[in-house]
Amino acid sequence: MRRNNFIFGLLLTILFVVLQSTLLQKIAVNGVVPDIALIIIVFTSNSLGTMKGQMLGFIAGFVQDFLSSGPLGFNALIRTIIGFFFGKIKGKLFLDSILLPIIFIVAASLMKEALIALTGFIFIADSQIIFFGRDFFIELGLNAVLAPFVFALLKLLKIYRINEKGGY
Amino acid sequence: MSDFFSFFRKYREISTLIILILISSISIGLNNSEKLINPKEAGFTVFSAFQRGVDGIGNFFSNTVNSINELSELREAYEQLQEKVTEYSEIERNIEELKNENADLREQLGFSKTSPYKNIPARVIGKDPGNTFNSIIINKGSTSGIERNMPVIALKDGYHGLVGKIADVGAFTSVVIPIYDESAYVSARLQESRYEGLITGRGYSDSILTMDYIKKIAREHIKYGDFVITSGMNSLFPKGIYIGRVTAIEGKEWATSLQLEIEPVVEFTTLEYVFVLQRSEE
Repeated sequence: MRRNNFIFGLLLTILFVVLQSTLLQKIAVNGVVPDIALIIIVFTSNSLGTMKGQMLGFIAGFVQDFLSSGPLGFNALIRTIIGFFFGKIKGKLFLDSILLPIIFIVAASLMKEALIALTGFIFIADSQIIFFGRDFFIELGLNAVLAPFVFALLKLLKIYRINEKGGY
Repeated sequence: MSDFFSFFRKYREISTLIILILISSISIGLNNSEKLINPKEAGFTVFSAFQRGVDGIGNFFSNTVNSINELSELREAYEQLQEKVTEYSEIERNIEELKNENADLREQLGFSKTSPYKNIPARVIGKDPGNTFNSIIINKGSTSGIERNMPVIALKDGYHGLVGKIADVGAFTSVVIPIYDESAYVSARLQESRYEGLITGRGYSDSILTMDYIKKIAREHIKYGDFVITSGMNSLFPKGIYIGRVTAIEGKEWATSLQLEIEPVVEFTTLEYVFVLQRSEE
């Protein structure tokens, strides 16, 4: 049952990575698309725990790297750590419909940007990546607005098992 | 050895995290080395197939909707024709519109023949899935003869404008690094005054470019609206390709050179068709 949940989460994340590079570009705000794949990684990690969260982040990150001009492994590293972190807080917080999804995604987006800065600094010589620039704040806003809707839709699918402590 | 496995079992989650981080880090480190089989290109080939699929589905629905609209328009025209012969003028007008549309398309497609550069026409099918890196994905790859570092241009208002260069090549798709990327540098020249400089991007598809290192003496020879073209010197790009127009001139007293703001010829936010130039035919 849980393996199926993981595969479902993985396929859904990969689907949205591809959609983010194609169809969602048509509704981009100033060329910025929301990171729906990140929202799914956060939700899935928080539902399935650390092990599956980090594996999901790792595989989905690698898929994103294949389609990106960034170095292979860049997104895999960042999303593995995000998956691990949100898996760790599984069941520790009561997940309401609006506030906590927004807090989760704002935290995940900030964490992602900080890890991009750190990874770029360590691994990319003469890195020209813009950190916490205009695009980041647009993405942060889009992610925060979409988070409650994506969380609600994923809950409606009832694929993820509700854990014993009342969280997802 | 058994100690290792018992340690791994005890700290399974954190051990897995460390292994995954190590794999990612090694992969980033290996990224620039020359390999017989490039894992990034192999992966790009596989996963870009999904992009082509999604693009194809999108086009299918769009074409179907267009076909229904066209059928509806034809039926209306037929009914109108039955009522009045004078409606022929309406049809003539429609034909004229189609001719204009055809002329626009011919301008794009005919560029392949009239261009002084040997080129491979391609369509934009996607962009970078994240917002950290700037890349444009096109529907032609190594099977169409595309190689790394080939220049990419687009036709806009009759000008062949510089788009960027090929960064990664899959079998059927390629990644283009656009000139507005922060890591892009293009050796450029002012078309009228012939002064040289270096074009850099600011990282945003809707932003202007910066041209640096122009001699201060050039100040009185540069006008707003002047064209900037590729210089062809020490560059991947052939000379004479349009980059943009001068929109601002900045020359600080203490600085040794001028800085210009350049509005790109190519409209990146609406870019649909591009041409990949083959270097041997420069």
